[in-house]
Amino acid sequence: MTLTVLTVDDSRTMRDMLRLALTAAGMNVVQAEDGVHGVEVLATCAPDCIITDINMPRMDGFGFIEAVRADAAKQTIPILVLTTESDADKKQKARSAGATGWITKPFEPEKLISVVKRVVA
Amino acid sequence: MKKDQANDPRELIVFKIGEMEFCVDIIQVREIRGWTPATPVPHSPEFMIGVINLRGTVLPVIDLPSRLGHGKSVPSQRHAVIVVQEQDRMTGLLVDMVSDIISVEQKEIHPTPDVSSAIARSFVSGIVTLEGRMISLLSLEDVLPNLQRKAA
Amino acid sequence: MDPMASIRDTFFQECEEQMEALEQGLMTMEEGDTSSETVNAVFRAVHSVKGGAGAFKLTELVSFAHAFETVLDKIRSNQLEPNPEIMRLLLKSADVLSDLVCLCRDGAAIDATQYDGVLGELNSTAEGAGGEPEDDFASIDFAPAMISFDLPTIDIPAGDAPAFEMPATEQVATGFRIHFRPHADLYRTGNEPLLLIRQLKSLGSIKCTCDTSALPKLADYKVNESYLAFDIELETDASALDITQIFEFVDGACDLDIQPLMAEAAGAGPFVPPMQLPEFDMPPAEQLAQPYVPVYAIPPAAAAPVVEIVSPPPMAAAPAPVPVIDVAQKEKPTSSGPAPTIRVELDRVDRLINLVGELVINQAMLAQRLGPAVASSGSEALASLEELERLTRDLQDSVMAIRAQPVKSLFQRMQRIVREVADQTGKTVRLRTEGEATEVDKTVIESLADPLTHMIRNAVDHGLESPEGRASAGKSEEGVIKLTAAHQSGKVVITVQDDGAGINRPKVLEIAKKKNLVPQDATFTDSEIDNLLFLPGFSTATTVSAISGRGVGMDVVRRSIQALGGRINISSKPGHGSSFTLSLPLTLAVLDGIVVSIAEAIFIIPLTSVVETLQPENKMILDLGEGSHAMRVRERLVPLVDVGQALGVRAEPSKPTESVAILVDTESHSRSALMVDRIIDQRQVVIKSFEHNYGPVPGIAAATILGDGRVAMILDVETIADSKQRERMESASKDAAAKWAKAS
Repeated sequence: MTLTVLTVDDSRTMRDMLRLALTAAGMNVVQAEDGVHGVEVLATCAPDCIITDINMPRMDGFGFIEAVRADAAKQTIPILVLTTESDADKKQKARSAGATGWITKPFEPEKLISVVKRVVA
Repeated sequence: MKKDQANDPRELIVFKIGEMEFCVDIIQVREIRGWTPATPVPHSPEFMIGVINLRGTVLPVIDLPSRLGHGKSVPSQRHAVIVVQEQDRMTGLLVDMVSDIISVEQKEIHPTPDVSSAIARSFVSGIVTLEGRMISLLSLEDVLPNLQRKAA
Repeated sequence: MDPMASIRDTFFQECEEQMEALEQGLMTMEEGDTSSETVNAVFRAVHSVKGGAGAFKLTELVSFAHAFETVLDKIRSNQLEPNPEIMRLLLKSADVLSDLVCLCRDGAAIDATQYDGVLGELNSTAEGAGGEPEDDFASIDFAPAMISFDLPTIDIPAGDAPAFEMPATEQVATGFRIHFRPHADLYRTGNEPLLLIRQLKSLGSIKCTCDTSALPKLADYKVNESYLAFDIELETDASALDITQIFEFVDGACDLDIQPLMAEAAGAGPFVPPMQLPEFDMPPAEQLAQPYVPVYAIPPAAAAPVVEIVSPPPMAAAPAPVPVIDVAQKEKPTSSGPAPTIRVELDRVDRLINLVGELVINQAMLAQRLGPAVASSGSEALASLEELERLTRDLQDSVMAIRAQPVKSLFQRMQRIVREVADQTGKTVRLRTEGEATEVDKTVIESLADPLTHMIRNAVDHGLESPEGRASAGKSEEGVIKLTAAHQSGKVVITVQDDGAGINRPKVLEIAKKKNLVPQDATFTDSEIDNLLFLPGFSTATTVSAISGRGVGMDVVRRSIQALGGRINISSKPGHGSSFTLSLPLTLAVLDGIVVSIAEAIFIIPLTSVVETLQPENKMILDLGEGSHAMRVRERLVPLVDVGQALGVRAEPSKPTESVAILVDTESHSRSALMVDRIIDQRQVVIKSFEHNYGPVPGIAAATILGDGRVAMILDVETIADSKQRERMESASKDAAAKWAKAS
């Protein structure tokens, strides 16, 4: 079954790279540009997994994750945050907001796919 | 371009200037058209006939026979203009007639022999031998003017 | 195209946008707005560049961006105050970052010594600020709690250990026993024990039991609590580290206990120490007489039944597959209510503009060919033709507007130039801008960058006085340069104004005379003196400064502006400053011109230069000898230029009385009369580039396509009208032949 992944990132470059890696692994990709947009998109689709950046305008990653988890129907969608290596406190904060796990930047496509597969049933 | 493509056969358009045959790689040819009167360009050399309107683009036309040292042409309906593109600029080459399209292997293109004239060596990058014919491969970058691009 | 190459292009495009946003944000901060929104925007710009750079392994860019980002992070978390000194550092860093991006984009070598200083400053600033110093990429995150096994050491005399007898049962570590109790939190983060256990399974073979001991009575059962735990026996060659890695996302959200799994192995054999345990020594043979008892607890024989792991019911019923929406096409709306925009490739716009240009030509051709026929057949047809012309013109205007962009990005670049030159000259300068939102054709913006840069540099370097000079003139230390843009009567007007000392007219005149650029005994009005600056070869700097004295004079600036179909004027007030005014056409593609015939060839003279047309009469003409003539026009003597000769299209000189004289004004406000054979008419023509396929031709600005399809040249009035330039043009035409000649 084809997995659908929602990627939320304000960087066009990052969105393109995520899409490249995910579609190469046979997944469908839906994109959003920031937290607000991500919430809008979620109203119309149910991805199998969400990958989100932290630093975004309008609504950052933390806000977005909280917004997602606030919806009872979306408690169990795995949410992965994109972080750079040294963001220990960010990971903790993301976890508290409800993130499932993380992907470190810069990412190798295979690593990205393996993390996604880890958290998706 | 992949390295293997260097060994692929090349398609060449053959044209005549007087009795001599020349050719140019089809990749560089945009189109072939008949002659239309050109507007002369001030301060231009003898072999620059002028410019014509190619569907909205101003196209310089070179008198190729003159450029190759064969004397100035009197352009007429009997001539043909080969529109070539080198890098991102287009130019028209006035020739007597276009005669052929041939396909040759890379190995059938030989380097210009030493005994050739100075002109041949300046404007020709090789010789194709085919069924007894000797067809000179035109080196476009040497035929066309050195463009003085705007210095930064 | 290779997808990565395309993404790389996207990245550098995005970097350009980020650099703009960064500059904008820093300017806003400098003006006093240090709200979190602004600072965050600045942070994000740098963060974004860093992220993408990492993906493309641009290490120097990454490490500089990281240092920059760190400082910005401190500012946004209020650990660092953005005082003027810090702001200066930030602005300098933005410049360095911008440079590095360009170098990376062009694949050029990066010389670290160029920016080491700034990098060092950033690092020391970050360290000096509050909070813990960040470790560069050190991973001090959820490190798995290492499980240590404390074992007593038993001495064994070396060399004294024969092949000892093995106990009847020997313990061999074949894997791990894992006790895993998820907390409620684990589920709230979308983690799923099943998936974790599956991952364990991928390491070897497992036996999993569910520990329901914590399950309360149904009445006390809370839905959101977690009561189940799992005991897993995993036979594997993997290490404890591999196991903890599987649980890395849920560290802290569960109880995890990992013990080595000791299995019974039959028969004697050399003792194989269990994996991962620190080596411990064997007891001496005597002590081994006792049955060997391992010092760690052996779990009781499994009492609970082995339970098959059953997949939990599907988490959420997946709806029918949703069509993929690629929302990346949508432009990011601004926070203040978006004007919907669409991103279009420039190629497509250019093609559209070309097509519309063709349409204009065709419409002109149609009008010309049908004109006579229509005129006689009735006013309706004529009205239709006129309507067609109007529509075509409107279409062209609309299409040209597509490529229009605000000059803001250009003005922002000037901010940086001002900073640099101010630094280099030790002056304090502020650049004020107005009309940043004024829209101009994209190609005009790009062509304006160089001339504008030069003018701004000049203004800072030469226009503004030194701090001491300003002080003694009673001016504030900070010099101000005002850069404005506005639309005025169908043109874009850009001004560069400084509040410096103004043009030193006596000095300018002196230099002009010394360099023989003007006749020695001529008198000039103030305005004429000011315009002497535009003469080629002119430079007031006695020492050629590294900044503006690179041989790029104001004449080149003027030439660039004219090449765009515009004009430039200068005015100055001694003691108060100077001002340059550029006026540019809104669209580059069309030009109003007078169509003339010279030696049977058609030429176009741009209307902007034309003052009036005259029919020379004998009494007006003065023979200056050597074939030159001048014409008396209302008390002034104006040189007559034989255009046909100047362009080399005519061998015989023209007779002034048999020609039409077109009086033109050059930028230096000097007048000339261009002699042509006759005037055909006046019309709007579409400009076609000449240079692209052929190269520049002296005396010719561009080409156009006439109604009958023929190409006509558009004259470069400045070159032709000015005698010195004409001479240069004539010698250039000799070079024209040379540029074609091959070394024999």
